[in-house]
Amino acid sequence: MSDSEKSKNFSAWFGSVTYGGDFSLSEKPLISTSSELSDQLISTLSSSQNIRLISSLKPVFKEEKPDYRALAKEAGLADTDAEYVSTLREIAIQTARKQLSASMTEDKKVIQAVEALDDLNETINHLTERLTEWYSAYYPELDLPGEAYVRFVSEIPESASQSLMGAPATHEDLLLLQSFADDILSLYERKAAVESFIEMKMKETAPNLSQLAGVVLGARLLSMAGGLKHLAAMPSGSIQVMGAEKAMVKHLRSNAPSPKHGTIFSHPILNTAPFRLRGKIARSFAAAVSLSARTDYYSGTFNPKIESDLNTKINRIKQASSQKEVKE
Amino acid sequence: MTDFLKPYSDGVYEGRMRGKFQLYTKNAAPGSIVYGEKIMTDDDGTEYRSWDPKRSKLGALYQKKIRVPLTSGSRVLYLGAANGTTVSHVSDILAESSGVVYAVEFSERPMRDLVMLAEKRNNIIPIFSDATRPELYFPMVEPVDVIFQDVAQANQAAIACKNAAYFLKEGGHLILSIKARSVDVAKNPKKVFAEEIKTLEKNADASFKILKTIDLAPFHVDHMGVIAVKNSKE
Repeated sequence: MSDSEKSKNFSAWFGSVTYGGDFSLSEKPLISTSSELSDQLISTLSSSQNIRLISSLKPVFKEEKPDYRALAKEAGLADTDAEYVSTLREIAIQTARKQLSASMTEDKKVIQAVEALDDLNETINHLTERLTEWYSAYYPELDLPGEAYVRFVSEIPESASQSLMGAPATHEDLLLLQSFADDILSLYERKAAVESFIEMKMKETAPNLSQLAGVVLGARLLSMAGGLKHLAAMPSGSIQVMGAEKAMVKHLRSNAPSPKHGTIFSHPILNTAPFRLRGKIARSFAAAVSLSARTDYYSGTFNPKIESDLNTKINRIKQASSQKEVKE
Repeated sequence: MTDFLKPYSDGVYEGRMRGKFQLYTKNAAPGSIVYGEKIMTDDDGTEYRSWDPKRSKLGALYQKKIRVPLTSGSRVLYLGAANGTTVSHVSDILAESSGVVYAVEFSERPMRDLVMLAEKRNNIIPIFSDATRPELYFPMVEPVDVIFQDVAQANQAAIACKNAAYFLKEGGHLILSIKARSVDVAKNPKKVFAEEIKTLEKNADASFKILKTIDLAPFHVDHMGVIAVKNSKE
């Protein structure tokens, strides 16, 4: 056996295994309850050293495979095949439960909140529309925007009697409308609470992204990517067209033009930009979003340079375009 | 055995539902259903769960009368277990002997369902991990007879080969569902399938002999089922 093939160790759920021509048990676990074993398994599974060892043994595993059942029996964790399965199953279930309960990270909380916010918005609009429709039968002259309208009905519904055009309202009618408006108002309050939760969590977990994209757009991007880790791993070109998947697929399949921007369009830097520059600006903005997400995920410290660099770049784009127009 | 069901394949039964051909597996967790499937009970109280081929790639393979290399004693590595719709039927099949299924899923939501399923069935080992990186769950998975894979990833054949290198015994089988849309949304599915098959036949990690390929339509659009056997060492 050459030096490079000298014996190697790796950890499995039942203990440590040594390879030196064949597989043998080198270390038994000193613990025995399934809760302890699952804790140990979690640290084994996340040990980058163990993962590297296993990867480096891949050429060996291709040729021969360790008999886990025999090794686990030797380690004293199972006497029979049936016991092997039942012991491992118990440990695997506990391991998965612990991993799942640890997977609700701060960015996942933001995602839940931003999705709840979308639902709230939809519901509020729906109900406000219904209330407006309903109350306007009694007071058609009343012209107030969304929340103010609901507040009016909730506070002074009897004002409907001033109306010249409206139907006469009984006390009962108004009482029902008033409580309906109260319910909608409480949804507006809930919405404000969710928004401030998102703002707080975003500034904490993604300071750069919040600064650059804004709290709500930032949170929405996190939600679409599936978390800060995923957003950080995403190429900026994907971030640019995220939310425009339909147009992107159409572009790839036929000779339709590629989408210039997806969800990021809701940012004022894009929706106020001159039409012809939007593609260029979207590209730079997406790159800066990607950089922010990466900075947030890997370092977590705030870097004001990302935004100032982006502004410089956008100014250059705008300047270049105005010079071109002058030449023409 | 009952008068309305007859054996179809190891652990799988055929019967009729509303006059139509229907597959069933014997419920390994009597009294509970997984995804709204229908239950038939025979005279001695044994429950059989109907298997919907539209909800399951493996179910579609059986329905298409393909010889599926899965037996009740198999040790199975199941990649892309999702919330356990198909895994529950695999568990039923394996429960008729002493088989075991290692079910790998990477996404939290379906994983919660899968763990709850594993709590009710004693032959499912749930694994919360990334099927593209077998080295991550190597400490939990013994060598297996069958790899079943149904993941929505770009390099589906390569993932199967990598897992086969670590876990699949010599002469073991691969049952693979290839989703063309996951490999490349723009490409013609036929081209995608041909390339994935080429990867299976020739790959540094493991190579396979293709036994059968079949279009899973009308149950699943743009999906191809592949059954292959791992080539032994040269």
